[in-house]
Amino acid sequence: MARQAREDERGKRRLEAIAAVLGAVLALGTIGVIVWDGFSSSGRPPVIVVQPLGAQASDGGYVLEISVTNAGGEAAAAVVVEGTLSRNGEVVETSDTTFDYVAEASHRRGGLFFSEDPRTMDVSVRAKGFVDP
Amino acid sequence: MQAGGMIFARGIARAFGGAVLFAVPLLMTMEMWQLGFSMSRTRLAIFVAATLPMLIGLSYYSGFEKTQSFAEDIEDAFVAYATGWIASALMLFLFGMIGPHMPPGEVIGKIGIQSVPASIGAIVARKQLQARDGGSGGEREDRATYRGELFLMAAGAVFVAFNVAPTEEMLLIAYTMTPWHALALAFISVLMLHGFVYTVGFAGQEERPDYAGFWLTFLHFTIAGYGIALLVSLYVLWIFERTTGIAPPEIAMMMVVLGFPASLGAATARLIV
Repeated sequence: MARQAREDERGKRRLEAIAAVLGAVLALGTIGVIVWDGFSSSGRPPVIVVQPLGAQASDGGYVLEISVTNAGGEAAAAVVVEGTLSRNGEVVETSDTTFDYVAEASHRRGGLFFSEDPRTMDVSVRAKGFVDP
Repeated sequence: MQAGGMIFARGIARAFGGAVLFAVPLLMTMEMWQLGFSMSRTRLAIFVAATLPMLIGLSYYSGFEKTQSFAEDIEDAFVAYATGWIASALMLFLFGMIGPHMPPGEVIGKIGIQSVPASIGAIVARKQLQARDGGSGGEREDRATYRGELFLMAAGAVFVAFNVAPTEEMLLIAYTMTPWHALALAFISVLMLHGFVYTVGFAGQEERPDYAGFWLTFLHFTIAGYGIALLVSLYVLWIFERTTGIAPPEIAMMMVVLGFPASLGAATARLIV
């Protein structure tokens, strides 16, 4: 009986130590990453890079999948991305979409719909603007 | 038998009330309806599956019926889940958010995600909605082991974090804050968590001799609790696909933002459960 109690106590001590160490590692790790980010972030405005990923036929048209990367130092909100299809230097069709948020050093995916096939044309995609969140 | 049936029926009615009460903020949150059909089916399945062991644990420490055995805790957990599921379905139908014209995947998804907070509400309804019957005393939470305390903290963190995690405000706050704001918030979270640990009175802390007591309580309850709050935040963020494509420092910021309500939930779980 007493031995059982002693073993329970030892088990509890071990669990307390594990929980405390795990908590300390998580708290200090998270804080460490944030401090590192605080000192290393340049405060540069968002730099939005848009890349076409590939087009495929969709219901009644085509979809061009795009990836948007924020290479700047701050998060961007309401990022408007425009895609243009052109043939022989002449614009055939444009389409746009808005990304709610693109965090710094992060990427998001989306798509643009076209009625013409982007695979047969020159595709250009670019970000038109953003809002500071 | 008749009396037993009445007691069970009263328990179910109470559980139903608890389910609606605890789930109503989320039942009326737009993002929750969208997540119901847009979130990854795998993650939704994991989320619902992970809720069941939590309900069993909550049944052990509280629950709408006094339990005698592990089998009864399992039974109670499933009864609570069923109650939460039906309550969610009923309320979503009343709000016009589900209906026969929608595909079954959407309907089940919407009910599934709401069933999590609703079933937690159902299982903790006993404590919250029962008139003091006096003399019964000795609820297990009062003599919970350290393991039990950690479990209750995690359950409280999941519940409160889950209540704010689906909203867009969560992202907006994380993106608007500077890293220094986040540090201050982490500091405040730990401070409040520690304050609650003292006020609420966690089992075991009072046994400590005074001079060592502060640091041991701080390490064993506050720091362990904040670690749990951060882990739970990461889990909830992952479930809601908030981490996809996001750089680690931004994830850390979101963890601290969500860690604030999570640590409040962890600290006060004993009051709710």
